[in-house]
Amino acid sequence: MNEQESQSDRKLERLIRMSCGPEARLSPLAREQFRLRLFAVLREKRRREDFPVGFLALFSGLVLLLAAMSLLPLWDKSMQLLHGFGSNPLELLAFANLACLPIACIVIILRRKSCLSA
Amino acid sequence: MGAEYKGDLRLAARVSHGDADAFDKFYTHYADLVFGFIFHQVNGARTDAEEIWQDTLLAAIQKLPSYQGQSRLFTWLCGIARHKVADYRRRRNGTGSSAIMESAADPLEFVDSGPLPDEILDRSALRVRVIEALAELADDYRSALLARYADGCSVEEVARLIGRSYKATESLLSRAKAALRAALTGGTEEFE
Repeated sequence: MNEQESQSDRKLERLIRMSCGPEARLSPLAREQFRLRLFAVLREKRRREDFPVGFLALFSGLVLLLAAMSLLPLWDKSMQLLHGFGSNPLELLAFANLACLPIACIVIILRRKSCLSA
Repeated sequence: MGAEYKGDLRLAARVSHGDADAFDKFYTHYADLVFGFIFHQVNGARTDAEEIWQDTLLAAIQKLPSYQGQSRLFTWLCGIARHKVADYRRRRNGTGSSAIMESAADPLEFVDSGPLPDEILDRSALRVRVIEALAELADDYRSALLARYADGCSVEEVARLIGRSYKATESLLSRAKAALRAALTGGTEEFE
């Protein structure tokens, strides 16, 4: 290594020291404390965002279950159990919300896709 | 318009989705660099730098889903940091500096033999540039350079830290310095 190169190396090393030396760094404690706080914020944000989708998926699952039950001989038995609601309102509820299932599926697939393909 | 920085975009998406490993990687990779960037922007005012740094990362976590990968993730984070620093300066110019002037018994207290504002600005800009250049390097290059020259570890210690032999570490440091030099001279011809 010639003199010019080693001088350039020393300048570079000094620059690194000046730019990122201990005085320009966080204390490990402050760093770790904020890491925990930031992750908690991220988790909370994620939970808030996931709630409507989770709810939609759960509701859609219920609708799907009801729709499947309607195709089975169990339907009459179930109706007896759920007689308090009456058969018509339940069917109405099932059909009106059947749209939730594809919507929930699309939302979940799109979110997963955006995560994986990014 | 496609994403140029797919690795950064993938990391941002994983962090947005609450992936703990991705978050750790994001934090390990950027927390110190962003702090260093802010620290030099505010000319070494440590307490202010810490406050701005926290605001920056909190804002970044909220805005991460809007990152499109058109620039490096670090550049994007620096954009947020610049806004936060500008807010800090506005607040400071609005209240802080005048309050200090009013409370001073002797205006000459503000005049010292330290560097002139332009010199401070140049020096800070150069340090910010070094941090930006370091952020562009591969992880192993950056870790080795920081351990060796910022933390003052010996080559043996760096070798232990990154799990390589002494010879391999020496070679890595040499390549890392060349990469940093290239990253720096990409922006400015002279870095001293």
